[in-house]
Amino acid sequence: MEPAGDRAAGIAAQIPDEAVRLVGAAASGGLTIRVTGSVAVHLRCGRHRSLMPALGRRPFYDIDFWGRDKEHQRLEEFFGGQGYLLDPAARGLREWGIKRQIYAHPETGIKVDVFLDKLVMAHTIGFAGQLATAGPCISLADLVLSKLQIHEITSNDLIDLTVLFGEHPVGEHGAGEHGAGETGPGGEDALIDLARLRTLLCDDWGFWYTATGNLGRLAETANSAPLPEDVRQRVLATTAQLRDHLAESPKSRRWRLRAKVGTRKRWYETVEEVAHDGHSPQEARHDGLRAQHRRAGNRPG
Amino acid sequence: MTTFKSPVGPPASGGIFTRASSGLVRQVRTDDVMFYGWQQIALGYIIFIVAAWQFYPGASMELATLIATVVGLFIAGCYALLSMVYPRSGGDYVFMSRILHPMAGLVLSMSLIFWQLFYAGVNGAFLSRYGIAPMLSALGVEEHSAGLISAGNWFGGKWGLFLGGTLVTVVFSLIQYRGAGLYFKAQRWASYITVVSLLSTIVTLALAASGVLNFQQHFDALAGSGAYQRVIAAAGATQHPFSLTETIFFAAWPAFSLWFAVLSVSFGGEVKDGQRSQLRGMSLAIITMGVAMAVLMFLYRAAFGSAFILASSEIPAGKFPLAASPYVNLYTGIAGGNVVLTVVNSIWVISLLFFVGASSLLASTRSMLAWSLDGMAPNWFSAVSARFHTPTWSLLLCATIAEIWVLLYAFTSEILVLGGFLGQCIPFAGVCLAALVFPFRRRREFESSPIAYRWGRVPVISVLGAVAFACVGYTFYRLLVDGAYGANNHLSEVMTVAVAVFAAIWYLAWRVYRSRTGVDVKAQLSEIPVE
Repeated sequence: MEPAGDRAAGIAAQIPDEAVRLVGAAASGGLTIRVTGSVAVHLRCGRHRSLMPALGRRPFYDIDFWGRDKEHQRLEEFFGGQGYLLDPAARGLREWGIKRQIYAHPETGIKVDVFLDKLVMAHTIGFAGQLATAGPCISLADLVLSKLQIHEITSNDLIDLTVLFGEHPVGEHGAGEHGAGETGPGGEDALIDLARLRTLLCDDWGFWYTATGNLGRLAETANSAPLPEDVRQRVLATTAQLRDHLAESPKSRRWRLRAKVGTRKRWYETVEEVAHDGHSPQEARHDGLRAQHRRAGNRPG
Repeated sequence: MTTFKSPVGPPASGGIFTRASSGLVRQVRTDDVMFYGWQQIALGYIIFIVAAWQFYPGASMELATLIATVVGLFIAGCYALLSMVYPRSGGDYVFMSRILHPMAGLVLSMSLIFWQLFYAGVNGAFLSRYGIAPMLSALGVEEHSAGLISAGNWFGGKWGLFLGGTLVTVVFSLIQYRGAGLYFKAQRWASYITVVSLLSTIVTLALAASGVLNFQQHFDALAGSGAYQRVIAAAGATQHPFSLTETIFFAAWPAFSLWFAVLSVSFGGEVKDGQRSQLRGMSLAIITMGVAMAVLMFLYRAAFGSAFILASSEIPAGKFPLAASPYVNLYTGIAGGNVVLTVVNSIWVISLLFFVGASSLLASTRSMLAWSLDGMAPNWFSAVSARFHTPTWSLLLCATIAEIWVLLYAFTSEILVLGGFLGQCIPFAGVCLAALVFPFRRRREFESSPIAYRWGRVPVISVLGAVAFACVGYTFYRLLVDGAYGANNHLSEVMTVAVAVFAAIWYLAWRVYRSRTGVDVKAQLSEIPVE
């Protein structure tokens, strides 16, 4: 019998290729999905992806995608055709206005999460018009936003951000050397687009506040983590540049009004864990997971 | 956009967390639970609650409402705490089947749903009888329009009742087919409108109570000089000294309305922050509507006069000087003396009576879903549409049953207003009993649950269950012996027993069938079901 650790490692190794394969297969059927989460960090950071396991990042066991809500029925058929089964716990989500699909492959054990039109977690990122990227992944800016929105950030998320900032600079469209128009070898964006970050973070004080806090944590982590010195310096410089930029950028009226209320009112959504395979949060508690369970998960990927 | 620095500085770096998988943000909020409770409570019922006051000489309506509110909070405590342990669709079915016995769960849940569907249909008819008809009558009286009065009477007649019931059933079946998310959005907006209309009504009544608006003068102007006093004289002696016993008897009327807020457990698995939202939402719904009901009752008495309210309810229709039914919302319109105000003050009644049937429909489809997922009903009960993921066939079945009740209510005289309360009291008692015994029958779950509170050595949920069970049991007894409620009519009694027998046979048949297909039914029914 294969040891559980070997099996998990085997699955983790398959996941990036499986993610790219699914994007391609979906495109053949006229569907648009893009990889997000840690698998996207792995795919978009070819030079520094080896840092992920080196820094202690948990191996992949699922793939997160962003997709279009208008294609939700065809996506169900597509993933069904690829051998993925809809998670019973997620079967009724749509009825309640949650645009999300969750699948698992009965043989490989790979789990797939599909977010449709918007990522609704601690903060909301609308991405309906952002999926026309050149490669299999979402844009670098959206990838960074998906990590910065996390209210209770984990070490895995900080490692992902470290690798992203170590590999890619931030920049503006048409701003010279690092204009966001620059592309990588596959035609993908090579810069983290400041304009996209600014559009969301300078219109939503809560998101801005969470993101700013996470950038602070990232700087602390980068200072203490066993990183190559050049990577550390790039991460710290990018983090500082982004914080300064966000602090100085003009803010919307909505942002300013909400800022006046501050932290007296909760500025993020509470995120619950999905109870998979029919096991409820209560059952998990019975199994000794009590301390970790409530309000535990709030990250995509 | 302008440059602006946050008055709250960047957060200090906090802790780093651990987590197993991607999370989920539920969409049903605490205020949605409260609003759902408002729709189930349907404050518009106050119209016939006040009309029933005449049967309880010496009863205090406000004190009776307070008693029903307090008991309602005990019942809500039972439902909400159990919902924290079993946050699942068809909540009460899950509690009772897991804590009491699977057969008890199905029989009591089926009984509740049968009568919820009765009210899903009948409440649509109430929209016509107690919402639209009095509003049109008030407008007709104010404007001296025979056409409007006639239209009001039509809406209070057979075809008007049928139209109202059918309208509610069809509209909300379609909305719920499009998704519960859409339903809750509609419910939210309806609730905001209800608040505005209700506040306007309270202000109007307060002005009438304080003498700024003179109801008696307005009534006499419309019904003829001295009409107000003639109504009081026609009824004879209506005023009686205060009676606590009659007040307690009368409390079943507001209870009939207020207690139903607990049915938000039917969508327990979909509520954001389910550990607190159910308890807060239910309690807030009962308290806010209990207070609103008591305030309205007080203002009705102060504005129109207790003697007039009692007299106009008691005298035969022929002796009432207006060609309209003597309901308090008609009087509110007359007191306001303004057509626009009459419409604004009618909106909360119409809105709540429009939505109460929908809230029953939602509770019903959730329970059917839960039975099916448990293997205690056909798979098609939980089959969902490919496009909206809504339980299409359950919804269609519920709508059909509701429509049958609309037909029976509109075109026969067998069905009285409280006819279904008898059958719904038993499931209420079942949940209260489940709360009482939960810490003893499911000790491990209780100890590891978030509701393992104790007063001394006694579990809090058992205390709540004991008090609530006793009160619901007493109410059930009163329903059986008091003819004024109308719950002990022959059809209600027969149907209450027949539904229970049918459900028991259903359970046994499904259990045998499932066992023969190799399913370990006992083990399955002891686990928390999948959503």
